[in-house]
Amino acid sequence: MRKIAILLTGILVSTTAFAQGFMSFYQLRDIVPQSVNFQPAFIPSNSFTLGMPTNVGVTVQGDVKLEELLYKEPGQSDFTINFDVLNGVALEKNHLNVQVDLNALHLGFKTKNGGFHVFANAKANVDFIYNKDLIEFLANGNSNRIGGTLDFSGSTIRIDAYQEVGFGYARQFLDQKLVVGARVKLVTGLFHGSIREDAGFTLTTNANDYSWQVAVRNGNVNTAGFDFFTNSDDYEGSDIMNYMISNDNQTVAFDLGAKFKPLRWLEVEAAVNDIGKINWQEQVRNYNTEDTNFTFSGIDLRGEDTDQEQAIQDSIASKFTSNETQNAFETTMAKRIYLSTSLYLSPNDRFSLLYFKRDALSDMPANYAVSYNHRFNKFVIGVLGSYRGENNGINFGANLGTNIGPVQLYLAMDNALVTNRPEQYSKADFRFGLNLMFGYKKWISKPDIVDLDEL
Amino acid sequence: MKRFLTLSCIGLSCLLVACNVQYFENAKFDSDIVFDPSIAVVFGELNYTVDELFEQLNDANAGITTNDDGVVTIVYTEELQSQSAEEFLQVQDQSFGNSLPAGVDVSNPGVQTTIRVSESYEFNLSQRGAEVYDSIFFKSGLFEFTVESDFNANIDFTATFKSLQKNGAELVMSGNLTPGNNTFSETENLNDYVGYFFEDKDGNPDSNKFLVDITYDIGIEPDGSINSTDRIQFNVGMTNTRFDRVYGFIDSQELEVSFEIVNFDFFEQFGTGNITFADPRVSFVFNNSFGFPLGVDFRQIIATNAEGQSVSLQGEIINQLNQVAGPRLVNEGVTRVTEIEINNENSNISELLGIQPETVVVDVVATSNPNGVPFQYNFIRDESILNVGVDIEIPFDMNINGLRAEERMSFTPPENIDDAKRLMIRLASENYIPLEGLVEVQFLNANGAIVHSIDEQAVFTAAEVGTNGRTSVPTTTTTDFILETEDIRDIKNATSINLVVTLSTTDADQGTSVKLYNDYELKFKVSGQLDITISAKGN
Repeated sequence: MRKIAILLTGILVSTTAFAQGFMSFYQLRDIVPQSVNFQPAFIPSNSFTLGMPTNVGVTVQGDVKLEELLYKEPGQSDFTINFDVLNGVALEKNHLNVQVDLNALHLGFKTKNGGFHVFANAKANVDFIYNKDLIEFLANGNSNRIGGTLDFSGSTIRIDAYQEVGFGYARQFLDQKLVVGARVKLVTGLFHGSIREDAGFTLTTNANDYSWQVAVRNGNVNTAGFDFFTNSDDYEGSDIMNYMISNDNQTVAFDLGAKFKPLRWLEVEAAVNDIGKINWQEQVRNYNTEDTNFTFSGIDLRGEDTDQEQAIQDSIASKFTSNETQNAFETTMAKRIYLSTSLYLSPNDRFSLLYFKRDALSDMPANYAVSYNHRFNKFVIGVLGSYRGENNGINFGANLGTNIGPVQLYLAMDNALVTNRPEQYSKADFRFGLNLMFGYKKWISKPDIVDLDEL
Repeated sequence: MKRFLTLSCIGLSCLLVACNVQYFENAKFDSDIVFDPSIAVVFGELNYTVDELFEQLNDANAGITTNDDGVVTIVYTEELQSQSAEEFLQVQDQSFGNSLPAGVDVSNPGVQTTIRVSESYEFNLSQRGAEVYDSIFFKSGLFEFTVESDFNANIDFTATFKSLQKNGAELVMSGNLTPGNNTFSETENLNDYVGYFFEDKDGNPDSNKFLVDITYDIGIEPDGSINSTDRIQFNVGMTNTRFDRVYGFIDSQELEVSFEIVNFDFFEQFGTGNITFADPRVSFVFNNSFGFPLGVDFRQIIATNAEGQSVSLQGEIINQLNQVAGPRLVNEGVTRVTEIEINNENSNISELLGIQPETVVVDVVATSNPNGVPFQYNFIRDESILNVGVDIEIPFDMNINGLRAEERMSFTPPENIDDAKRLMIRLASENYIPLEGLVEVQFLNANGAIVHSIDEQAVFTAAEVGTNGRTSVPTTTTTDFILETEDIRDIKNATSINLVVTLSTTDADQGTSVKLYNDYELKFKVSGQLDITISAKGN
């Protein structure tokens, strides 16, 4: 009964969650070595694992359906961005997230009481939050807010791309009831772009004379690496390659994790990844606008006979004081926190409640999911359900992992239905990979070895 | 368990195989992202004081100023006519003469005998009416003196013209006549001569007297003879004279000072409707340096507007003789200024200006030394002049009722006007002036034809006037001029905008006049709401 209550609570919570991806893949943390990127307390089942560079994960998700983002006008075949459509479905706060993870190398070794591994990853994330007012302005201007305020505060974007190489170690304690893992990694930042999160921009339109009261605070945009693209003529072809291999945007970061199984049917887990800060020093640009609060009441229309359209533009521009600098800046890595509670109905049947939070931007909501996995010796298969709010419907995920001899294949999707008319969904998430695993028989009892003929 | 595994695998396979990506087939992404927002923005301010407001309507000779009460006032000044001394007075040519006989009979005296004959003459100068010349300072002219003798003897004569002096010396001419050459003629340029005509030959004060002393000696041969009736005949003439100064009395003469005021451009700005000024003043200004007074008779003043409607000035100013002073002798060289004001108290000038005249014809007779004016000794100097000007002062103390004015301005449609789907221009006015304005906007093409018009709307409303005659609280009005897509298409070919403004003062329909003070302001905040289409590619 208690298990059912916990399960129902988890389902209820998941109906309001905003999922961020790879949650289905997280359910393969028993067998897939790349899950160590999310849960460092991972001890492989085999002596040696070689992760091929085919381990890729991609998540694209937002609060609008793909057919709303890539809109086709009736009778047209081409996509376009239609702000009226986007405005029609916009929430008060809207998210768009793209993540690409590439596990370029994974070498894992099992020890008697744990395991260690070395790894190399490349990751790219785009997180965009836009509020209702921003999309309202893009769609309708300020005419629907005459006498009111358009507040773009809270709308922000963060783009990160980096590569990491590191070493991880996990060990069992308390008669295998507790597993603790940690990873240390050298992170090299490649590209970054972000609007300061507490930046604010409000536009209040006077109801009578349409004068604008504009307030700007903390108007600061930091970038790194983009100059290779915006001023490509200034660089040799090899410059960007040298930069991506090694540059001064480096830091040391950590991943920590633990699993604790106090009871036969209960297991709790926690993992915190990407603990660190990148000090961006190379290829940096800062675009700064001083705080200001002004009312634009127009120009003196009885002035000199000048180009009044240009004069109005100049008058507005003169209210802002902006500059561009090249000062180093620091960003906190997008920390990922996983908390889970698993109930084992049997040794091979697991219900999990998952809490996941990714701090790319400060007010990104936590994510919840409920899943079921069944383990068939060397196979793991599971389903996952999540509901991401009023615009997103219910997402059904699935995952599958196999250890067939020395070859491990896996595939995980948070939204498995996306292949059928993907335009109707607001999320596409998949992760797949191939590993070569050796010496697995050494660590398991003979009866557990799967007989493929039986399958 | 096998069954479960099999079903699960089948289920997963179905999910993966049931792939339908028709939405993306043959589709390309149109990177030309189009924004079509509606932007409400303020463009700026238009602030007018009363004088600035009417400056916009007035492009001509009238000036806008403020009178002592702070009321905005139209002032119009024009130099109408001038008359110089030379134009006014020409001294008539003079001609007079006489004969002087010997008075004795002499026959064969046996010896050479000389007889002297002498006489003083007093001639009256030719004149007009009661003209009186006491002295004339000549600038030019010709003096002629001729003598003819009928003596059969030699004559030596001397003529002293006591009335003509140069540098204090009288003009003297002398000559010799013989029986064979019995005529004499001589001329003298009158430049720098002064003619004194103020006493008779006996030295008594008089006027218009030209004095000449004639003396001649008759040389009689021993065997010669003369009769008492033998004589010499002399003539004096002054012709083509011009003067520097004239003293005396020029009697009553008319000066031509009729004129026409044609540049009333201020009113050209207005069309139909009524405008009544409460306190207009038209002053005719006479600058007179002639040494005599003038009587001015406004025989007729007629104003005519563009429609041909005429109104004549009525009132006592028309019926009375108006006096223009001239400097007295002690102030010779000074110009006396006399203003004759036409106002509501002495005329119907408000009615006359109320028709918004285009021209005003002023028929004036100015007469020197008019009857009823105390006698004043007259003088005229060569530089004497009578200038007549008009100062029109129209304080904006008035009643305007439905007065229409038009103001045309050039218009160039914005290059990207095609991007506009709807355009709304908002005028938010704050008005301290007790004057309301209804505005119709007409877009005209190069031929002046209306391609689109926006119906008349109240753009500013009249402020209420307090008991002190001033406004203290502004009225606010918000007016929207809207152009829909088809309207915008219409104005693409417009080259000018014609604003048709209909003005009325507060309580105009009740006949109330209001004063427009110079510190009143009419402020417009011009803003707009533009429905535009902006392409990311700039199309």
